[in-house]
Amino acid sequence: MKKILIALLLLTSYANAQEESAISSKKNEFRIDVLSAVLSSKISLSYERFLENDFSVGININYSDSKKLTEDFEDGYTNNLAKYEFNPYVRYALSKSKTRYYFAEVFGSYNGGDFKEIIREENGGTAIYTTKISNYTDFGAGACLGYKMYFNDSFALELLVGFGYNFANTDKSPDKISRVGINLGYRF
Amino acid sequence: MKKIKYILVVLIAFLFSNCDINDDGFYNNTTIDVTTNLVTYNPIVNYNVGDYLYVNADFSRFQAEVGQTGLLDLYATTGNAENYAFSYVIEKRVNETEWETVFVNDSQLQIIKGSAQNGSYVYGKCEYNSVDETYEYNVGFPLLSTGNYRLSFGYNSESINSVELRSINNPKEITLNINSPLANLDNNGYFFFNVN
Repeated sequence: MKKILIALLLLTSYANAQEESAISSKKNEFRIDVLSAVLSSKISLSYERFLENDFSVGININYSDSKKLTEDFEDGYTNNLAKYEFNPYVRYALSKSKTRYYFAEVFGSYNGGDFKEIIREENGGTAIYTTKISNYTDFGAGACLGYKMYFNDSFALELLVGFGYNFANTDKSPDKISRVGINLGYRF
Repeated sequence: MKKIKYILVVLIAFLFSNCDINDDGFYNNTTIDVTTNLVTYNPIVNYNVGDYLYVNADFSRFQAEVGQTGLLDLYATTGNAENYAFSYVIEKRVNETEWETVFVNDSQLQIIKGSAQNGSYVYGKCEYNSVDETYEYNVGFPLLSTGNYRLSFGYNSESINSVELRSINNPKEITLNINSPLANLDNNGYFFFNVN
């Protein structure tokens, strides 16, 4: 019985080693965020390039067209409407396993959208207050923690939670940037 | 144990995804100060039981705004608001230090122009008159018993010596808050009168 157990353990370890080796040889990954798509009508795509020493780099691109956020913006509950983000990032794997691991991420952000303000306009001796919508862009940075697992050597499920701050144009842009997602990916 | 970790991460992800990343507030909203007394009342100090205390408004849609040139169009700014609302309170002295709000039924209010509801304060609405392009309000409050009374306008406002009128309009349009001075109030924002 003991021999069978030991044999099974060795077999499992061998299989894991084979799987880890197969994943390590694949250096590129594309992902799509299903959480943002479902909850926020946001298209969020990511690319990640795996480097040596547990590091990886990548970029995340978002485009948002949320009906609820647009309504909130029109009804005056917010004065900005984030539309797009380009988030380059660097990650470090916190676990030894290549198939299931936690990671830490720092990211930069170039983001933009619409900004609304109330202005006074004079015309022929009378004046009115009216809303003026303009575009904003800003730069930000932040950090995340996440967990990633692979299935069949190539398919990835990734959970990500983090946030950051804009710092160049916060009179118009949102103060905070959230970076949260449940991503499905393919590594090759 | 691992499953718990996964569930925890998913829950945190959902919680964060529901965070409002935009700055909260209400932004279809602006406040102005005008120099004109938009709301008035007759400063009679002695009334008789059965009399009415009338609060009035009859102001043009075009108003001079403090610190600005050109008359502000209150009607166009608000996407053609048909009403401006304000509030006031009538209290009766109970003893040396205490006052209580006077409650009457809405049907007892003498509504001549505009509309009003009475609860812990009178909620008055000036109505737009498109003929002469003014907002109008004229409502009498019945004085039903003898005693010392006081009138104030600071219930829904940050200021005690001015009245705040707020436009009632579509939320997609600008809501305009107007601070207008009031006459005959003391330093604490009260007008005192007696009912004999």
